[in-house]
Amino acid sequence: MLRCLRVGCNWKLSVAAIVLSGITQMVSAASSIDGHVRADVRHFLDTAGHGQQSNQVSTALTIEPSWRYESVDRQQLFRMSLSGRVGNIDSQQDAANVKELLFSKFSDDWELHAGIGQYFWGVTESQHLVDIINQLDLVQNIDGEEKVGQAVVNLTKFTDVGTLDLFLLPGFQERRYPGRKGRLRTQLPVDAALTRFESAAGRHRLDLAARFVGTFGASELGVSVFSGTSRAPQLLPAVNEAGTAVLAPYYPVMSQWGIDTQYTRNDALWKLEAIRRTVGGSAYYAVTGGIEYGIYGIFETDTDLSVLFEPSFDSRAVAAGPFDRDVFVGLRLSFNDAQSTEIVGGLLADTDRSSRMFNVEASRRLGADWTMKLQARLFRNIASDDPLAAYRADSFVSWRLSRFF
Amino acid sequence: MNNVLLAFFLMVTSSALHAETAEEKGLSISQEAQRRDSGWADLKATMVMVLRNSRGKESSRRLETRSLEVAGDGDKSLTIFSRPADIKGTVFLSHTHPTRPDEQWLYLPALKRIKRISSSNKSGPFMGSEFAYEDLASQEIEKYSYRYLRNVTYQGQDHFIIERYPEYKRSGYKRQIVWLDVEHYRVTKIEFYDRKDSLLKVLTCHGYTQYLGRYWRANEMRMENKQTGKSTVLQWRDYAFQSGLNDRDFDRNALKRIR
Repeated sequence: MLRCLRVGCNWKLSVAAIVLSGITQMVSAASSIDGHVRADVRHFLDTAGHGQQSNQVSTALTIEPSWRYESVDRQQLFRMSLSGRVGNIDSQQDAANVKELLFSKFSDDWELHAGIGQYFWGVTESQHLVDIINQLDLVQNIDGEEKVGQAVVNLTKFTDVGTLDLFLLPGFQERRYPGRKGRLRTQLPVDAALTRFESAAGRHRLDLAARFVGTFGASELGVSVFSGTSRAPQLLPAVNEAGTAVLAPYYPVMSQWGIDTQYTRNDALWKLEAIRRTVGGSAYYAVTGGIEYGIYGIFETDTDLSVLFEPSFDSRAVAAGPFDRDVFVGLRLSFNDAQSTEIVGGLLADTDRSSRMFNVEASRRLGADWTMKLQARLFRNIASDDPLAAYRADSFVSWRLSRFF
Repeated sequence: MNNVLLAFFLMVTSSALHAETAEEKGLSISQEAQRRDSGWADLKATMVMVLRNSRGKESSRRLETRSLEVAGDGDKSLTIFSRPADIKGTVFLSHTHPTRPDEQWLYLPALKRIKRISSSNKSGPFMGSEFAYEDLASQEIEKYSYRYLRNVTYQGQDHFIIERYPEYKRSGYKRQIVWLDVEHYRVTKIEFYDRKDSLLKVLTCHGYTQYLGRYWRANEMRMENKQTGKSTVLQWRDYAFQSGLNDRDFDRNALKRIR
């Protein structure tokens, strides 16, 4: 491994070596398999806005099996989570991903994890500013709640004040984009063949990150730092080999400091996330914060209502994302019935422009092993200079049926 | 003669001063019940929860619980969900406190996210069942005030009946009436009265078994909702005491390594 560090050879091999040596030590162990299969049907309400985009109802089948293998002394654990998707419209959205392939060694005061992992940092709901380890799978979910596994060596150290995590992040996963026929894409399609990196090591740059998180009475505090290839590329106009106008992804190197904190008092969760990010020599700030307020047993029923209010701010004049100067308002109705029926609704409103994005999701369990979800997402009055402008004609309703095993 | 009268007077007043009030007796019974059930250190158990609606349709849940006794503070507990399958791997962590608000966290495995949640939802149903969060939380002495009512013979055994009133905010109950057997101070029945003081639910505990020669645990708890006709049965299995769990196992960051 040290030799690898010096000569900069493929880090994935070293990670694989650690994982394999771990597995071979797990002589006798307990294993379990679970996961789910789901079908999605999505109907777009408007005629496609960009050339060659499909107007068909989109359907997709996704399978996500997981496998756990644990040593008898419970000091070692191997877990694997895969994801495979096939759809009817855009083959570029079909993919097989390793979401997790992680060997973990546990001790009283520390843990070592090596392989491909998934991490979540932060406290807010409308966007996840601080969260940076994993590449997002925006093809599966444009909200950024779906992730791609990241090659990682992670040392966790428990202390009396909190937990310190150190990360070596070898290898980089590029962001995937819909193809020409796919909906919810940029106006010009992204051509992954034209991908460029700022780092000379390209996708093999060794990125570094650290995070401390602790609980101090009613407050949770996280402080994090990251230095590495930006998970979000800049999309630059280009012409590809076929002579077509496309967007070419360019991944700069960046550094980021982040804090995330939540203060919990009575029915209110007060949240704040802030980052300072330096890309290409210039720095900017971004902040999201607000409140999640719970009202329990409304109208003397078993139903709980949560109200969310989260304004966002980004110091850049022209923002690279939809959360530059926006306000998110959300509602969550939990019926607390045997089927776990839940309705969530959200509105993202731009404070400078007319743009509005609505999202409503209703879900419930059917029997013991099935769940169903209905979703409607509407883009309304999207300003032409808004980062969401490309999605203008992509309002949709969708239906998801999942079978868990 | 005067001295005799004085002595008699003193005797009567002092005995009146030291006579135990119903409130004191209620508290002392509860304290004795807790004293007898302390020192267990830590406990693991598996729970199967069968929910039955008013038409008799059943659905089930399966979860694992781990608890840690904390000297001078409320207990800590972990609840690990394994069924229904769509919530498998979800973990709920609670640090209870006798007087200040409990601290609670939720681990959502699909997102790998740990979320601190509000602990003020006491009266809401747990997993859609007839058990409220407050029914399953650690029952600290300071969370109620007490009043002894009377002794009765219940199921052939002498029982104390005490009334208790929640002293924490947001309880769904005005009061509870608790049956404890005189011999072992085990709770065998609780009647729950809603905020309007109407009978809401009745809990009965069955199949008490003694562990480590000291600690009694029921292997079945039945909760019947008298207002809706719904019911929930908790079946407890695999009680394991003193398996060496410690504070680290109930730390916020332990949520991610639960398995």
